[in-house]
This record gives sequence, structure tokens and C-alpha cells, in this order.
Amino acid sequence: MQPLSRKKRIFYFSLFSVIFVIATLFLVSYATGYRLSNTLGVSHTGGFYVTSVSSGSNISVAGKFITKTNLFQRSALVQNLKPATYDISVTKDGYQSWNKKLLVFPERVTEAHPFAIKQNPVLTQVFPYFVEGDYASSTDLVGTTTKHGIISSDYTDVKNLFATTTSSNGSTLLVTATSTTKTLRKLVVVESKDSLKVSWIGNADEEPYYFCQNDTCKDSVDIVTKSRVKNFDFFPGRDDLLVVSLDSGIFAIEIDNRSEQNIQTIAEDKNLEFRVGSNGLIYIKKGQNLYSVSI
Amino acid sequence: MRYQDTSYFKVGRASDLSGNDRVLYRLLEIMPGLLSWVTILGTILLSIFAPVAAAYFIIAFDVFWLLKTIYLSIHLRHNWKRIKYNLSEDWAEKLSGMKYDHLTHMIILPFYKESIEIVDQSVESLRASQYDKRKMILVLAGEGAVGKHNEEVANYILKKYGNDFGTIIHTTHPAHLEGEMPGKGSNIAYAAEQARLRILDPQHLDYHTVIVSAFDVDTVAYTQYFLCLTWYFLTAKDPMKVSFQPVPFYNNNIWNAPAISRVAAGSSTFWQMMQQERPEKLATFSSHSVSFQALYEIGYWQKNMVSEDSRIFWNLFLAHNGDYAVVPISYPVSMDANLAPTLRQTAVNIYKQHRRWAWGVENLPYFLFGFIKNKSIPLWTKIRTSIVQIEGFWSLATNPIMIFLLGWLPVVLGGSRFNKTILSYNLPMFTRNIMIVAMLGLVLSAAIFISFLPDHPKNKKIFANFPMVLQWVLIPFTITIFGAIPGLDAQTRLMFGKYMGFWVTPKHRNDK
Repeated sequence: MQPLSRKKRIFYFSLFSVIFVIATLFLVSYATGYRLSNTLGVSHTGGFYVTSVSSGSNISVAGKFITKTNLFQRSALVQNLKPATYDISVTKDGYQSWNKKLLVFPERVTEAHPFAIKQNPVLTQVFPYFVEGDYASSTDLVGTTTKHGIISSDYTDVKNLFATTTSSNGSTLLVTATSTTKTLRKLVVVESKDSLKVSWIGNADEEPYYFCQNDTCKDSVDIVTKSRVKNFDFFPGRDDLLVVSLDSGIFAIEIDNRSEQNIQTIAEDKNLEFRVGSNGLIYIKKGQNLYSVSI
Repeated sequence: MRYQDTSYFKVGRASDLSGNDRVLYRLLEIMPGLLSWVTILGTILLSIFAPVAAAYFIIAFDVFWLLKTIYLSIHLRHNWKRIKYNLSEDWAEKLSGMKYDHLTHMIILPFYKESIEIVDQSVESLRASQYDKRKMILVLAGEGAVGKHNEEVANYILKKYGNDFGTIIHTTHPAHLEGEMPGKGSNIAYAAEQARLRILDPQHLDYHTVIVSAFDVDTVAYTQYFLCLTWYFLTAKDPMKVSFQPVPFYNNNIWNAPAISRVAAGSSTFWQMMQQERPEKLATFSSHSVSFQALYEIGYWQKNMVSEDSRIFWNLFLAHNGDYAVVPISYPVSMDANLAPTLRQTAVNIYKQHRRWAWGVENLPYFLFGFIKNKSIPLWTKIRTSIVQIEGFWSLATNPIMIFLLGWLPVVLGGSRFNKTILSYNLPMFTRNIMIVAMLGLVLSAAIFISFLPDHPKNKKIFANFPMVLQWVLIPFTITIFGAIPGLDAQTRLMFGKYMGFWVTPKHRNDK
């Protein structure tokens, strides 16, 4: 039996060389967003990268269902979109929906980081004592014994949180006569004249996605609310989301103002105060009662 | 002056030369490592400063790699069919109309500290081979450095097989000879000369009619190996201008070797099988055969370097002004897969063995220097051979690293601006998908590997067959850890002039 003939080998080599050139050109073009259009022309497309904080969320673009997130796949890359404005929606049963109109640019991926808070967030009261009726006793100098309830350390921590004007989620606070400033990493949020202004003071290369559209970036983002902002802080674990206290309740507001900002309700009532704990939980104070929020 | 008469014909390293020759040789030693490092570091730097260009390059490289895999698989599959055909062929019948009783086979079996059992198995396979043993000379080439063990092995073999071959002799290579590096090259060169003085000349054998097979000590010849080799020798256009290369199977202890060893061994076999279909890329490797006349003309194997098995081909190539080739005989010999008492030690041995093989890169400066010096070699032969060989060493050291490690680099290093492009999202997906498609080729690998396995040992359960298939998922790991990294290691050592010595792969048998 003869070895592979030289003629065959030259044929394979030539064939594969041609395939290499064609496939490389095609794949590089495809990878950068070029697509054949229906009219056999070439269109230059872009896409969205949509993340979801939880599994079981339905992601739709322009009314078309894209995917349902799961434990292993919590994001979706939507390609082949011609440059235009698209409606993106992320919904999940029992959660408030998130909708955004965003632009697609050629060769670019527009990021979207939705959030979803339960339609009826559960408020769990933080009690001062572990168990009602559980007492410790102490005896004073004259020998009188008194029973005390054992105070929960969690309660003490939360109570202390509300005793200060700041939360303990890593952000820093600066209060002056005219404004309140909160800083998280290189993000600065300034409350001034009943509005919030979010600025980036870090390296331009690390600027959060919502400051930029295509290659054009803004210096700051304004957040306008329906009523006076009584208090605000960064949403736990997010640098694109704020928790704000308004006259009508406590809300999560996204900083991203590339289109109308999404606002979702955490708790609706008057005279509510909130703090963000170092454990990533949001606490609410209503009257003298303290609550943790399951969102 | 003939090239083999020049002072630099058997140069081992740059420091053996002086003046401009030394500088030139040193630059050629630096070149392969530099090329590999420039490729890897260049891709990293490109990923930082020009991530889009890096991404284009990686996509092109992915496609290149996939097509190369398919291209090589075609060669592998053809050689698989050819080996099966050659194994089923009756070579005695094929030789029946030919005159070959004038030929003599000389088998040089060098040994060091290997056990009697290993030498015995190899010699037994020679005795069992279908060839007129009167026409076979066995040279047991021992090392004086191991003293008593050398004598014990030789005495055992001489006593057991003394009457089974035309001639059997024992040679003892003296330790610490000046200008020699301890290793197989110096041993078999000494043994060949001893055989000439003690056998060929006294028996008035024509050097042209003696076929020398330089075997590794664990080489077990298949029964018709020498008949097959004889046929190829007789049908070669000019048998004095070719070497004969069998396919090394690592089957001797394959059922006892761990998965990483089996995959590494199988991959080495597959590489040799592909090369058998691309003889212009083939240099002699491990066990090989060549006429005594060709060896004698150039003074046998080089004694001052490690990779004597490949160097002998380049010696002959330069000595014959490029008119020398390797004939791939597509017939197997069986050798040992790496096996040590512990898995860790096996892994270390595989790494060291592959680094020694990759140290074959020391031949690159040798023949490139020879191409510059030897004006009698046709220019096109020089260019073609240089490109083919440089690409081979470059591929070995860089391709697996590029494929398995660098695909994500522009995404990690390219910065936020690049990470907002659709290209940055597609790049990892493309690399992953191309890898998956390429991995489908492993089905072929598994099928070929299984088809050449020796009989299932009685003490192994039938389930032992499954790991022989499943093991191939280790390929991305083994070709990086036991292919690219030792390749890069060897090239880097050569680049910095940290020359390697000969490392003898320990032979261990575990018959549990």
C-alpha cells in the first residue's frame, strides 16, 4: 500500500488553504457584527448583553422572547441587531418588571443590567429580645433581684445603624449645610436642590457602562424624583442602583438614564427611614419598630 | 572538501566552535526559543495594546488549528490503514522473488541500568522474529559506568541466546571518554565500531549489505519487522541514501500505565504516524535503521549531544548534500510507555522524557548552520527544509498554549473599550466552539488507539477497556503539559545556553 500520494497531499493542502482564507475572512467579519441582509447586501450589526440577578427571569427584546435565565445561564447575548432603538424587558413571576429602551450601535454590545424587586417585599420585624419571656436576672447592691429581657445583638446593631446618619455598606458620607454626598469606590452621588447627581471620578477606562453610549461618555447622570429625597444610599451589591427614601416610601432607582430610569418599590408608607447594613440587607424603621426587608 | 570532513561536521553546541562560526551558531541556538517566546509574549502584548488585532489573529489561529487538525487526521487515518495493511501482509511471501541472502541485520541494543527482564523481552522478540537468525548480528551495548550490572545482563543474555543469532557480542562503552557526553549516542557509536572490528571485518562483510537497527533497549520487534525492513531496503532507490523509520508503539506495558501516560504515549505514536505520510518532515526518531556503509562514512552517531537519533539523519543529510531521506516503513515496533511506581513520578518522567525529545531542537541550529556552510545543497531544499522544521518546533511549543490558554486574553487584557465590542463577546465563544469541533477528532484517536492495543490481559477486567476510550478527553491537558511546556522549556534552555544532558527514561514494569 502506497503512502498518501503527493498529488493528494497538494490537493488537500490547497483546499485547506483556500478554506482557511475564506473561513477566516468570514469569521472575522461575523465576529465583528457583519451580516448578510435579506437583500443580499451586508449590514453592520450590534447587540445587547443583558444580565439578570436571578434565575427564572424572562428576557425579551423588541417584544420577542429571547431566553429564560437559569442557575447556570443568568445572562443573554443578543446579536444580529441592526442599529436602532429596542425595547428590552425582563420579567419574573412575583417580581416587579424592568423595561428599558436602549440603542444598538454597529460592532458594539450595549449592556443592560436589570434589577427585580418582589412585588410585595416581606418586612420582617427585628425584635429587641430573642424570645418573649426569656429573661436574665440581676441582683443590685441591696439584694433586690430584677428580671431583664435578653436583648438581641442583631437588634442592637440595627438600632445603632439608625442612630447614625450613615449606612455601613462601604460607602462614605459627607454632609454639609447645603448638600449630602455619598461615595462608593469612584462613584460620587451628590444630593442637591432635591435631585441626585451621580459622577464618576475614577479612570475613564473603568467608567460604569451607563455613563456611555457607543464611545460618547457623560460626566454625570441626574436622577430626578417625584418628591424630595429624604435619604439615599447605594443598593447593596450594586453600583448602578440607589435606594432612596421619598415622602411616599422607599424605592430602588437605577442610575442608568440612557432612557427612562426604572423605579421599583421596596416599601410604601409615609415616614419610613432606611439603612443598608454591612450584611447586605436593607433595614427599615417605622415608628419605633425595625424591619429587615426581603427583596 | 566533503562536508563530513569539515571541523564543524559533528559540532555539538556553539561553544565547540570559535570566531564568527561560534557567534552564528549561537544565534541559531537562540532563534527557535526566541520565535516561540515572541509569539506568546507578542500575543499577550497585542492583547493589551491592540486587542482587536489580537482577536483577529486568534480567530485566524483557531481556524488554522482546526484545519491543521483535520489535515493531520487525514494523514493519520491513511497511515492507520497502511500500518494495518503492512501488519497483515506476508512479507516473506513478498520477498520470495527477491534475492536478499546477501544482507545482514545488525541490531544494536544499548542498555544502561535497565533490568534483565526488559533486555530479555527485547532479545526474545528478536529471536522470535521471522528472519534467518544466521543473518542477524546482535550487539549488546552496555555502559562501563554501571559496572557489575552491565556484566550481569550481558552474561545472562549471552548464556540464554548465545546460539540463537549468527553472531552476538557484548560491548562495554568506557565511561568518561574525552569529548563525549554520556548517553545513547556515544554508546552505540562505540558499539558500531566494535562490531565492525570484531565481526564485519573478520567475516569480510560488505558494509553496504549490513542494515543496522539502532534500537532503544525496550524495543520489541514485531515478528515480520526484519522481513518488512528488508523489503524496503531492497526496493529503495538508493538504500545508502536513506534511513528507515518504523512507527513506535508504546504497547509493552500499556495495560499497566496510567491514563496520562497512555495518552502521552498514544499522542507520540500518532505524531509519528502523521509524519510517516509526510516524509519530507520526517527525521529519524528513537529506534531506526540505516545501512552500515552510510554510518561508517560519517563516523557513526554523534557522541557529544543528546538527540543522536535525529542528529544522525541531519549528519547524513548534510553529508549527502541534501540528497538523503527517511523512508517511512509504516510498520511498528513496540516500546514501553512511561510507568513509575507512583502517578506523580510517572508524570515527572513523562515531562522529562518529552523535554528530552523536544531537545531535538538542538538539531535546528545544527542543520541551519550546515545549510549556510554547505553550498552544495540546492537552495530550494534548504528553504523548504528550514521552513518545515522551524514550523514544526514552533508549533510544538506554541500551538497548544495559544489554543487552550490565550483565547481569552484580549477579553481579560483588552480593556473596557474592547470589552464593549461584539468581537470581545464572540472571541471566547468561537475559540470554545472550534475546540469542541476539533475534539471530535478524538473519536478517531480513540478508535486507532484501541485497534493497536495488545491483547487484553487476563488479569484485567473487561471494564479496563473503557478508560482506553475515555482517556482522550485528557488531550488538552497532556498536549499542553507534556507537549508545549516541555517544548518551550527545551527551547528556552537552548536559547540561554543551558544545555541539557542525556536523561535516561527509567523503565518500570508493573504486572499487577
